[in-house]
Amino acid sequence: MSRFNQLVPPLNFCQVEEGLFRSGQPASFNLPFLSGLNLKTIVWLAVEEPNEAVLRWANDNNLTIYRFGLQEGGAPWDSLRVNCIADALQHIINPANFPILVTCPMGRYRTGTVIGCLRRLQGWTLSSTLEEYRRFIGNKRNRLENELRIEYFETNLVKILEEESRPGWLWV
Amino acid sequence: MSTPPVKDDPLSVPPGVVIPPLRFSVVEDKLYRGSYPRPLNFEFLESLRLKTILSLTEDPLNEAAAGWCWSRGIDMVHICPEGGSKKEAPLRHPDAIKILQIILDNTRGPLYVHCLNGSEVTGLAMASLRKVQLWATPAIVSEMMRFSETHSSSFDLFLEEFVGPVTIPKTPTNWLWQGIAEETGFLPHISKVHIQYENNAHEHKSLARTEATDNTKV
Repeated sequence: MSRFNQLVPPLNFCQVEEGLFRSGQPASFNLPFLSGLNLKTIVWLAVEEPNEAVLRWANDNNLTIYRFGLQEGGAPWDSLRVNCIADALQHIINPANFPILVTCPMGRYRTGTVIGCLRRLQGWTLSSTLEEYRRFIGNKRNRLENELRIEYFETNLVKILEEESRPGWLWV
Repeated sequence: MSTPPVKDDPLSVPPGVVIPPLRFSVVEDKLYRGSYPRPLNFEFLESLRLKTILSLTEDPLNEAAAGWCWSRGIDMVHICPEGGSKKEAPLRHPDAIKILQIILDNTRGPLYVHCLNGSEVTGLAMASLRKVQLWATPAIVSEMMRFSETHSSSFDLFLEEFVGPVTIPKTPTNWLWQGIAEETGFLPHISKVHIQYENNAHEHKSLARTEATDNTKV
């Protein structure tokens, strides 16, 4: 039994929609909190692999980890390419994967870009989308390229499932 | 086709575009936060299928918002936060307890909680919720600062000194201590916030748990 009396959510943790969460890369001390979410899927946008503790925990709890961070010839600080974003979104809007966590090293740039593109798909106006994106950047330097990705994201790259098999919050 | 006449409102929203309120965010299932609801936001807010709007402002909702709520059958709850001096946090503990009472009641959701700018008062209310949920203090502060440009020590003091008592309603939201008590040994009664139960059945259950853990300590 754990001796902790507090739950530690991962860095920049936030609920995005029902069944959809975002955060920075989980550490071992975040796992008791994440267990409470009863996750089924993790969308891993980092270049590096999940650490041993997370992998073991994911394995024990039958979680599926989808990795989209690897970009051939790219550096870890490069922003996600459009096809990566679209692939990730394809999994994020599939209720069969819920509850789902989207994560990258700090939960700022890559996660923020993908969630920003999701907001565009949901029809959010650009200013509201960027307000949310910047909220997670904090006082860190903004990366203009990510905002451009969000602004010019072509929503028709994402295949939309039939109405009965898409999340209730996508369009109402 | 002739172009439609320009209305009084110079900001016209293209079809298919929705405008969430400033600092809008999902907090938990069927619990949302943000700034004062303006007519521009109504279409977006409608997509949340709200049942209740909780206003943490000096006055009840203005005519436009109240009329909209009324026409959509949304309950309006108004709690005026009793403000202290400028050095104090803009929300006091007795009001935070009243707010939690509403937030934790499953029959109220989907619920939208707002103050004027969606930052300080709402942020403090959510911070007290997170404390009840056993979140670690750095995580609570980090969430609070995401919505606020200013963070004063009075906010830390508010959080530190918040000890309830919080009464868990008869029909609590299912996310309150979702899965944690049984699986990881986290028990609500170890919370730094004093917890009471409106429902007697829950009270007995929590007492039974207390005894069980006391035994394991020996």
